[in-house]
Amino acid sequence: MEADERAWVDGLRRGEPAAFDATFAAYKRRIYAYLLRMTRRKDIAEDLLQEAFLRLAQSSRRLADDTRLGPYLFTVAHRLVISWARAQAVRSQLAGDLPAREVAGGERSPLEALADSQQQLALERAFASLAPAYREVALLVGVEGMTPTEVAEILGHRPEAVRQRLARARIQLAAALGDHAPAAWRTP
Amino acid sequence: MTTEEDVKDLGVLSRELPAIDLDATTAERIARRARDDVGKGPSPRRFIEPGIATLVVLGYIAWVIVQVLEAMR
Repeated sequence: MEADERAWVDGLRRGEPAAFDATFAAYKRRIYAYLLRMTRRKDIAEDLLQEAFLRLAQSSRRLADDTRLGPYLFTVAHRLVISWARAQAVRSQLAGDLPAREVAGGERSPLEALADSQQQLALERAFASLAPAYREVALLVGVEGMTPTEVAEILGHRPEAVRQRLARARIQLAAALGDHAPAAWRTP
Repeated sequence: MTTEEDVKDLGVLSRELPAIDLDATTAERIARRARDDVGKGPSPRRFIEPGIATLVVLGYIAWVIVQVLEAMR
């Protein structure tokens, strides 16, 4: 654990707002990006980001002194996404045949609007096309640079299951990216 | 492909994703709301609903027991 992070954890355990501010500044963008790519809704991602940091604030005095804030926050964020997805599934069932709220054809989603090249647009669409379980692993490994073992701890799965999801995510991404895929992923 | 190759290639690919950031106003609103709760523990309000539900269930059980006892007399 880095010295800064150790100091933040110590400060959080003492209930110091300055330690919270430092943690928020360091992790807000990463957690928000993860939440936005998982939910694909800006309003939901903001709500879940607030809930994640509220939970950190409310449990700050109970943090273990060796808490690693990154894995802690991503674990909370992962659980919030799962709860949100379950609530969405129930809502969809209750709504019956009502049309789901989707981006109209041709219109760019908030994520796609951030892309400033065809390559970025293709990439964002490819990640969005992945099943959530594969997208999550691909994001945590690819964007966050975590190892499959670290991701397994966050998701509460076996490392082998994460490796399998990673391999499937790569296959699906390669198919979705077509010519934009890395050369090594393209089938000869 | 090995897992190590998957990890490496995904890392290279993900660097091309567009950067995502939170606008400053939203970030400040979220930080201010959460900062107020640092070190305070969960709000007592979260215990009110389970408390009411428990009281209702206990009241119902007590009522059932009374009805059964009266019927047995």
